[in-house]
Amino acid sequence: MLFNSVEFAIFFVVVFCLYHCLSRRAQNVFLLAASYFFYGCWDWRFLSLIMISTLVDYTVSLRMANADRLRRKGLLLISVCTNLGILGFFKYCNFFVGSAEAVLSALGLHLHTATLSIILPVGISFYTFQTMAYTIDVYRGRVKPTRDLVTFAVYVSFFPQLVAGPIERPQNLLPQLSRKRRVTAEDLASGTVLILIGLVRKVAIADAVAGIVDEGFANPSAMGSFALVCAVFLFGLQIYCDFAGYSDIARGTSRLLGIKLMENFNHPYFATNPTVFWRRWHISLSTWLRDYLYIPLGGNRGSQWFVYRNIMLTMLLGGLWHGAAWGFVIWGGIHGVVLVVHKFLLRGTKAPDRPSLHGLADYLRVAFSWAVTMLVVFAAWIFFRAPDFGSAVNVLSGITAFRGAAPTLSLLKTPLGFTALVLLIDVPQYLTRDHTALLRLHWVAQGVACAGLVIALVLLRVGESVPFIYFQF
Amino acid sequence: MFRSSIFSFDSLQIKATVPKALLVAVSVLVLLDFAVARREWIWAFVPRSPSGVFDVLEDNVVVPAQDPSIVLFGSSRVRDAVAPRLLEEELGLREGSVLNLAMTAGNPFDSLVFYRRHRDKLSGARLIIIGVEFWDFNAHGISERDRRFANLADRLQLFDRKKTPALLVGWLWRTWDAKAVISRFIDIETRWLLGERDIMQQMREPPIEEDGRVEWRTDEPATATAEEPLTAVADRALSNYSAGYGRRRQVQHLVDLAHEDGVPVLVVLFPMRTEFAEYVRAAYPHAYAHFHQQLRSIKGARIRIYETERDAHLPQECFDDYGHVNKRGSELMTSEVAVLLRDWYPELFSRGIRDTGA
Repeated sequence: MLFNSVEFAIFFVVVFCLYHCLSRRAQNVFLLAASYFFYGCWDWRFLSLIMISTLVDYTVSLRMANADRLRRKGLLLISVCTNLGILGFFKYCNFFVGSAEAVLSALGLHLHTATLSIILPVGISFYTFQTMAYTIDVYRGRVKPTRDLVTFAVYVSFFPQLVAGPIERPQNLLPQLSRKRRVTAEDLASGTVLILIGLVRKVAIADAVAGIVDEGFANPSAMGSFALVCAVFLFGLQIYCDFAGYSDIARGTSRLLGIKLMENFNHPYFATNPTVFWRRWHISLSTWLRDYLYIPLGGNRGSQWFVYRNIMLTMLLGGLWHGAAWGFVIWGGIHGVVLVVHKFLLRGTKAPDRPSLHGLADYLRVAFSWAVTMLVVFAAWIFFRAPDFGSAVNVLSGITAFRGAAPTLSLLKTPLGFTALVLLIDVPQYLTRDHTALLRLHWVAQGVACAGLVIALVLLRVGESVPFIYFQF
Repeated sequence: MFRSSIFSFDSLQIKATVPKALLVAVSVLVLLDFAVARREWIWAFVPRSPSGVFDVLEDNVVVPAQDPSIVLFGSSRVRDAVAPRLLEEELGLREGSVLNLAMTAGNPFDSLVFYRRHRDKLSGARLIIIGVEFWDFNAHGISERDRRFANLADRLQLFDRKKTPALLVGWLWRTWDAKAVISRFIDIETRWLLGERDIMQQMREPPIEEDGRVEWRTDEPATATAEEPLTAVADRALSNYSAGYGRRRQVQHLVDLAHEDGVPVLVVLFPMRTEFAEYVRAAYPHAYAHFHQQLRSIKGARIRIYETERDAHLPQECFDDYGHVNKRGSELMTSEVAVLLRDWYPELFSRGIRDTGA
């Protein structure tokens, strides 16, 4: 059941209406049933995995309350091993077996290992990280374990963010699920606007450019340099709009249910350096990696080289989180390297979220910094999107070969048109620091803007509902 | 800020601007719907388009026609297969009395719409020939002309779990259905503004041929043969096949209307290359079986199946691609159809009966 489908629209209208007629306790039971139904529509068999994660973390965290330090550590280990075990088996088993076989084969040892036909359960990377965050925070004493199994089960499986995040934190979501929810008229308006913007991002931009991107990456050696640049650029737009669109819809639907989810994207393509890019891109994952991987590895403490090692390890594992393929590891590695270089250049100072601009020199410096950052970000997408390393190299060599048709206004029409649409949505949000900036307009402009978004949605939609890219992670 | 549950209406305070903004948004959408999507000009704006080609046929073939004797409906394969002037000559009919209303991606609904809109004129014909295709009874095959002409009953009749909700949305809100035509209009206008000045002429020139056929297709047959393997062509047509019954009902509806008017109907599968037909039979047995089962269930019409070129006595070199005949193929196929008509309808087309033009 995709967010951008008629089935989801019907499902959500029913959930919304029934949910608001129930008491808090009944609301949670209902949300749990709705979430399990939502997930079961993908593949009901994998509901058992969510239930196992839920029960293990619920039991482990409760037992941690009265346990001594050593026992707490043991309990944490049980939780981490269970969650990472499930994730490792379903997501990485064949990858590691295949990679080991390739390495041994290169060393002259030919093993005939069997790979299993394992289906990747949708959203597994998201909910395992979310439930692990809870147990780790209970272990660290930052969160009190909840005795309410239903509420905890909703925390793990809350349907708007179950399959592609944001990866919520217990400090944000659990208290909201534990108290009576209230939805104000403003929540209704902002939730609806978020859903509308999310749908436009997903349906009118991400899905609309998918065909061009697929064509470019399917046969890069047959494409001209400019066509490949367009394909890479449009993939950058596609993945941003696909994922940010999902996050907007997730936040919008949650808001209509009286629950505020964390922000997951904050206009990452306006970042003027790699550090700020990672503060703005997939925020729930990057902060998760910071809090539960980077800091436990040592974080910024220790020698400069130690810090660089921590950054590289975090980014490589962050890349691997996206999927069992070396392309994702390379993508993470590229970002790790540029983060290390940027950290070196910063020399201990903190990169500001927004640059201060006081004159022409500042504008030029920031423009240069933004251009270099985006060049690296978009080049790294090649490894993320290409089906294998060879294809990525083909794309890169195709671009640098300067072959094929020169750019013309007619060829630029598509990338320019979609960029304009993205900017129309993002610039007002960035300037007002408000994702529902549309609601700040005069009511006539609000109405026209909403109608414009609906028209864009209708005119640019492709035939069938297309799954979100991040579902495969 | 005042907080309240949305179902506690006593305390609910909606900012006065929200309903006003909503009203503006709805007004803009309704205005677009009535001023653009529900107007004929937008659908007919590009004659060389799935929707515009219908108007070209209406304006250039149906409206000027007087007392048609034979009316052909169907896809581009039917259009290519039967040359109207040649068939008139073979059957001794008056010039201009055979109307070939087949078009690219034509389906049974197009036939029904033509007949409904021009019943007065077409009900005077001696015979109606409906060309059908292996993929015609696919419930997923919804065309731009379905979106343009289908009324509520037509949309419900085309029932398909995946397609029906969108078809119902399109019936209520025509902008939804007009997506392709509005986008095409914007695209052409943009290209014109960007300096492609000849685009308007290219796209808006009616693709009508001397003998009244509309020679418009989405790709050139020579290119299709050279670049597309047989499997790709068949897969494109049949890979999303879902056994539906709506198209058969449309054929039946047309047969019934014609029957009321006393016009016999002949349903024909025009020949395709043997390897194509064999591939369809092997790769899509369910679609193949469904097609034949649907054909058999049509009541009140005679059915002739030329499955391969051998059935129609055509040599392979008479084909441009896997299903479209070339000029020579058209001549041979038209003669084959003339023989069939004289055999099956001797009272209408025997050599002694000549059209006097009365």
